[in-house]
Amino acid sequence: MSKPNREKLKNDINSVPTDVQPAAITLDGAVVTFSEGETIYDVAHRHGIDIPTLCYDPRLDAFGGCRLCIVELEGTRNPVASCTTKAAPGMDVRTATGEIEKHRKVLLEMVASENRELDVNPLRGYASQELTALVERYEARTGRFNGKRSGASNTVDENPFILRDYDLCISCYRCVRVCAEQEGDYAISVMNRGFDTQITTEFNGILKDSACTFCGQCVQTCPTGALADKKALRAVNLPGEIEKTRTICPYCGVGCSVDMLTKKDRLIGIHPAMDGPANQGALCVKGQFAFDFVQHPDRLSTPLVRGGDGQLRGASWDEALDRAADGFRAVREKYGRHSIYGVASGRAPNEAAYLMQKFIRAGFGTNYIDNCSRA
Amino acid sequence: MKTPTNQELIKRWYREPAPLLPLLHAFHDRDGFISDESLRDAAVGLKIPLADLFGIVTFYHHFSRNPPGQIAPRVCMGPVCCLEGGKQIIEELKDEGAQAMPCAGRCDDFVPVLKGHCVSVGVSSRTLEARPPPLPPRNPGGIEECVFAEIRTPGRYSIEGYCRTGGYEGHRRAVKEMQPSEVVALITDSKLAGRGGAGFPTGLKWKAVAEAPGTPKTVICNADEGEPGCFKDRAILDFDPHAVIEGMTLAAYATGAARGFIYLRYEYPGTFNVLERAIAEAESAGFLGEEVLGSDFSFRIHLRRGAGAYICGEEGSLLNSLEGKHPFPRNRPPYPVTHGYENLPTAVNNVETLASVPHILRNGANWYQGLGMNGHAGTKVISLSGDIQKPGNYEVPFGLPLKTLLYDWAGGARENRSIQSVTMAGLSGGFLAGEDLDLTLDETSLRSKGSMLGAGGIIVFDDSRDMVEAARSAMAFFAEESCGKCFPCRIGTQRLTERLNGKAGPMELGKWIGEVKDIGSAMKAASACGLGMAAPLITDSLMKYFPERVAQHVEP
Repeated sequence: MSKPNREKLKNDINSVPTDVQPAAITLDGAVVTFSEGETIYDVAHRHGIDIPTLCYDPRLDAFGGCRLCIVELEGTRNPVASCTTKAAPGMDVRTATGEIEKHRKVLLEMVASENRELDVNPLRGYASQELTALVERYEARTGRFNGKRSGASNTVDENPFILRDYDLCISCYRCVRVCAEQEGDYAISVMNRGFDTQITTEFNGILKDSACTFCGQCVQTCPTGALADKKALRAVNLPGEIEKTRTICPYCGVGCSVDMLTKKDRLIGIHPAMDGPANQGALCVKGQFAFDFVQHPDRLSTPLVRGGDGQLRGASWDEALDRAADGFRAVREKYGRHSIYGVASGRAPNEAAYLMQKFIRAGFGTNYIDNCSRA
Repeated sequence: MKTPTNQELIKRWYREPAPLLPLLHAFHDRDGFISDESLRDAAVGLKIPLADLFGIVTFYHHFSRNPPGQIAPRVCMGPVCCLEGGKQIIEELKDEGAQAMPCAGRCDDFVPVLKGHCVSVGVSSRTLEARPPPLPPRNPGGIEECVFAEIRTPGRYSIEGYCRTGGYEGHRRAVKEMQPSEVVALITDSKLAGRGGAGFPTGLKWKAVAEAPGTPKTVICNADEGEPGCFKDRAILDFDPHAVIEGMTLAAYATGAARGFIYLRYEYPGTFNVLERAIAEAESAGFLGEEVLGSDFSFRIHLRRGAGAYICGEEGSLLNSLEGKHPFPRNRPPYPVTHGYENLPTAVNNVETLASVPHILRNGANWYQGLGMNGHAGTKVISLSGDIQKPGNYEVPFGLPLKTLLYDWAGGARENRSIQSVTMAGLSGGFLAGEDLDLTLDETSLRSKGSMLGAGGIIVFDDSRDMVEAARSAMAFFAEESCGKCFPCRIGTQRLTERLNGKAGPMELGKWIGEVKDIGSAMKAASACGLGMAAPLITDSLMKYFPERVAQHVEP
């Protein structure tokens, strides 16, 4: 086989784009290309320009509410929101002029003025430090624009998972949008209007009586900690630094990536991994909140078998498996092979489920095999 | 008659276009409020998530969720009415559960009190009476009018009355003799532009809709006249409803639209009846419906009643409201001309714009252009109210000097008083005073003073009025009506109101001005829609024309 003609390859590659001019905009003086459908924010983000936002979550439809992402666009009278404005050929965009940066600072001072506090514990949620970080970046902790505060914390919603501390709410509606767009639950919405806007559920009730599935997505996208992870907050006073360890949620076969939060050797909470290939930040109630079993004192650490006195006692795996095999054998001899029925756990991946049905079919000779995920 | 059940009402509406508002009104009319059970049934029947539906209902301030509900009196506390007895009436009707409502568009005949579907008017609770609204006064110079040319003809509101003076002639001519593109060209040549405030050329808008892909297309008449001090659309619809219907059919013919909506504000229940009757008349006469006048052009108009939200006059909010969504404004672009009602091409036009169209069809583009003064094309209806001898709707040629309107047409200030200040664009253009009152009524002149003509409401404040209080009341209106979607407007209108009512903010003038200016410029630059961009004109103009009053307010 002859060696590939590198020169020819290079020519071929170069010849492709020469007849199509890629679409380009000018971004802070540099000419950059973009693909159809990208917003100015997307293009800027791709080029490492950190435009501030509070209502933006890359998984959600652009909303255009916080207006921090405004940029100057040549030829328009007013700045435009970069998150909702699609890039178009020839646009000349300036992302951080003195004027724009001043408006951003004023907006952040205004937002800061409506909340009870700015500094919240990071255990409140994945995105809970976003507002604080921007206030620091823009030196907006000035105490200007004081006045009435917005939002009212819901103190009657006594569920074990989600703290609804709306005194800290800035009405970015990320929770409402993630619930609708990502989860399809439509459990939360917006009540009233203007400064009296309040995040709510049907009839302003508690989450348990709503369509909420307690997946915790609203908590993890909240940029102020107004929605907070009650289970993680149990560990506020536990000594030690918060450490994050990437792993896969053990519950079902989807394989959602999660970051386990630990203090020393204690598992204290779960963050969804926004870059998890299977879940892109999504989790369900089990993956998000049901981790107490891991370090629960009642958790079994050895097999148990029942002694002659009817009491359970610890045993080795060999002993336990022998006892189980004896039991199956006895049942089969007495009642026949179809008296045995296997249910594979939804937590098992495909491969394990396959082995399970093989075990039931080949081992016991019955077709009575099912999977709990079928229900 | 048997009271309809929830399921019967849902069945009545769910196949109709834009069914949510009429269904909610049906519950509201039946029970006087909207119960949890009705909302649960509506959510299932119209396939809207219950939490969203609950949130939507709380957005509109006229939908009641509890008794006394709909029959509790709503008393106008607009900028004129609160000075003319509104406060006293609320106090007097306290036992009936009276509540304040923002300007209800009766500034030429105050104070309107709305109870259910009935508006009565009076300056105290004892003199309240249901009476027809006043006709627009004639201008003293006999200057030619367009929209008002025939409005004073008795019986004009009926189809016979309308047809007696050439009504539906333009419609007939267009459908029988003209191509849609010719109608667009005629309107483009006339230089007619949006009379709701934005001033976008009507012909261009129609052309864009006609050329945009996607059907069915829609024509919407924006009759959600919510700007305080504006009551022109009410007058046009009350006295000349067929002009608007004819305008809509011409818009539909020109753009290829098959369906139309009139989105009428809640506060005009009498107008709702007028329009319902007029639409039925036009349908019977064959001007609306399938195969109009034997052509292949079909067009229907659906009347929808708002529920009390100023922002629904913003076209994105209006579209969301019609579609049964939370009435936040939409991000632009895309614009309604390509992505309007149900994301299909839609022409949203103001009442006055549409009412001008039949006259232009009849008299020609040059005629309409020629109605303006000093090179400006056409006319504008101005709603003039407040401390003025003869308040009312005046149709002025563009370019008319403001002072001619104030003094020669409307008689100037009341006895022993002088004009201190006027607002522009209702409240959205802020205040003008002093030498800046020497201007002409056209966008160029007004923009040069940092203001705008908008929908054409002018409220006069005489020298007895406290301008800081006028500004506070104006800003409180914007805060009340801010939708809550974008930060600068949601927080800014609140903070500016607090600074004008003295409840928060620096007590030192320099700092006070610094904060108010910073909030204002962030609002103007960053707000998502016109409400947040316009509101700071109130504080800007207050500081510009009345610096001493501001100083006295901050450092008494």
